[in-house]
Amino acid sequence: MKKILFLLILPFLAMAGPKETVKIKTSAICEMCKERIEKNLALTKGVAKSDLNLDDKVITVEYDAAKIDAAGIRKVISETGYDADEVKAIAKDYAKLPNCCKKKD
Amino acid sequence: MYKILIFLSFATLAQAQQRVMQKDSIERETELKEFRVVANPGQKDDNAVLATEIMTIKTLGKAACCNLSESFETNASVSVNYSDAVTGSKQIQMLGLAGTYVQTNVENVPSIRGLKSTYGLNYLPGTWIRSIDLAKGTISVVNGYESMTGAINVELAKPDTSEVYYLNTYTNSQGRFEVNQQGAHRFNSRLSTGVFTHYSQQAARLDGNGDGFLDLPLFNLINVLNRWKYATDRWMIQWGANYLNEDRLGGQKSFTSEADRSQIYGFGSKTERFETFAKIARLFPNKPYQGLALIVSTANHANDSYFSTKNYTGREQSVYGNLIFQSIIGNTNHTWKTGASFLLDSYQESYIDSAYARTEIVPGIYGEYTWTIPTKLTVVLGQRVDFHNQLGTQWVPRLHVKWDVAPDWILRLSAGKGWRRVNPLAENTGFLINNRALKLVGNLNPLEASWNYGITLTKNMNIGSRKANLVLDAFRTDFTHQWMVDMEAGSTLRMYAMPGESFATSIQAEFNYSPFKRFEMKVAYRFQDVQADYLRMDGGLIRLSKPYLNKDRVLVNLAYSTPYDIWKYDITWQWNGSRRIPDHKLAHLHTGSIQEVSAPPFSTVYAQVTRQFKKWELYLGVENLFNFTQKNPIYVAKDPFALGFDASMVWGPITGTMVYTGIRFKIN
Repeated sequence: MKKILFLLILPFLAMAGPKETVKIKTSAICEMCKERIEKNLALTKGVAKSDLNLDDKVITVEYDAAKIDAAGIRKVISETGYDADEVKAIAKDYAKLPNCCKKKD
Repeated sequence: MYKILIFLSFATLAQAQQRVMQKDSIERETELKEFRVVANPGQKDDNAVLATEIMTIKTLGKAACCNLSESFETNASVSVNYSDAVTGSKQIQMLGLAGTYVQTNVENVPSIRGLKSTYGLNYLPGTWIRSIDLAKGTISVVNGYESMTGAINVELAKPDTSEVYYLNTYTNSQGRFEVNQQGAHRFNSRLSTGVFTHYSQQAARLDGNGDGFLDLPLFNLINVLNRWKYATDRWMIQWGANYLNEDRLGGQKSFTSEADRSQIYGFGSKTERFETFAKIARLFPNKPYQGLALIVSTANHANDSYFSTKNYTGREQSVYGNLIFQSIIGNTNHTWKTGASFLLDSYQESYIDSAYARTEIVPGIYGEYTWTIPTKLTVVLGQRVDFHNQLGTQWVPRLHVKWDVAPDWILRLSAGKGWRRVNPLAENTGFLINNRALKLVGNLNPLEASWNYGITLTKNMNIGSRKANLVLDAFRTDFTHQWMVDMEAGSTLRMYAMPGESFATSIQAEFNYSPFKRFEMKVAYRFQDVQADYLRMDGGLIRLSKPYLNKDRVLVNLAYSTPYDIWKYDITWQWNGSRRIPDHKLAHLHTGSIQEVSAPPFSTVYAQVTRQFKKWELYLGVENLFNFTQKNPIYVAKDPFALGFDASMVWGPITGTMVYTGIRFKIN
């Protein structure tokens, strides 16, 4: 029972720390890309909030500077299969994207 | 669009299933791969002609289910019960009728039937399952004649869309342990393979109610599936093989397999099963509406059991084939299917000192026509004729109508016949765990046949800006032939062909609502009235409501998740009304004048929390939170060799509160 209570409270405990914001240009295409990137960031330690604007493909990420930096965030995006500013998408991860998320060439 | 149509048509054929039961496969596969769920709460398929509930991996994840029997905890339509207090066998029940009247297919290949029906629900590991389609009433004639009250189709993980490696573990406070591993490999764009393994064990000797009997049997289960898929523009071929080995041991706490079974009550069951399947579909890229498909499956089943000193052996060899052709008349508003099926089922069984053997040969033909007025009306009319070597020629007509009455109002009607051949022992193993004398009485026609009629009304709506839906349904099943299992006379278990009438009425209302983002609720109420005429000892008839079935049931499910499903919370409350149980007094004979015995109503609560990490998930849950158990699941448990000992009078949970935990780990 105690264990369950602890699990219930845990998400609210992880809400502290000073926040910084970074804007990163990505190669996202559709809603599914947006969801993928935002979800992967949400599961990354130190990332508090992220919002990808599909019009200009820029993602705004709020993070805890003590836990992660902008380079770390770009790395996560590249590992999701997308370009992040000058960091190119990891080819192996790009290959796993659904067709609608791949660049049309 | 063209490509999609081709894919659609071949997906349809390869799975040998019409749109009736399935959504657009493409959509489904991406949906499942991406762990996305259709937008409407409650997972009703608004495109299907039949009222179909879809349970996706997300629904199934709500209760970390170990196998198919545990997959329905959050579902209002299906109830799952232990068949007795010793063997651990579980049976489902739908529309007030036993699971044997529900056709259970795995990817459209008939699966849980024949001797497998005893423990079949326990034999399909939950982690292999990607989705479950649940249809009430009869389904398309293409799938055969056995869906009398409903059908369940289980889709397993596909080799070309599965994770490279997937590991799932489960352990619970009752001493059960489970490991599932899945590996998938794509050789190239056409060929892929998957290997799924399952191992589970009940290691602890648990006797929570102190009656001297194990509440759950000890068991070891190994299950391995290897499947292959080859897909091109013109061909889609899937094939595979499944091996299963299970050893169960139950009975009195001190019982071991070496013990003297005339001194200590023991139950044992060893099962070995080997299955193969192949599905071959020929596609016509220039005619995406046309297709030809062949489904072939084989099964070899061996079971050796004992119930104290009573021995049972069962062997079954089965071959099934179904050839389906699909095309159109003029345009796709008029589609038709036709085909032929073949079933060879050979059984050799023995119980105590009697041996039973039979071979069933059932060739059949069918045709089905679908008339569609897009977004207005769909009518499916099916006919099939099967030639059973023992039961003669059987005709099965079926009709399904879907009418989009108004925007957001859908009306569905279904009517049709279904039939099957009963397996009196394998389907009623639970009723053998007692000292009642088994008597076969009078007419022993093994045919079971029924007509089922149903109406379903679906209303999609918005409450404020949030989605909601309401589903009302009513189904009626009238048997023309049924195999009766009669425990109404104290010391006997009688089986006979239905002497009078037998019917079941089921009415259900289900409301699904998402009052705010990522919060979903389901409230359902079900009423069922199931009655049959039983044979009195003096030869007369008495109408009784079927035992062990509760008239009323309420289910409430609440689910909440934090953004991106990082945390998921789920809680289900079920309330089961009181139900009639047979009077167990030895001298009791049902005459109608004696006060009926009934079991009290009870409720159970299930809850679960899941935390998702990048590559894995951790879940922790609890079952039967309020610790409700049936006090005396075994009558005369202290003296299992005396007349009156009976472990088959189970109506409620046998085990109390249970906590479980486990992980899911994925490499993409």
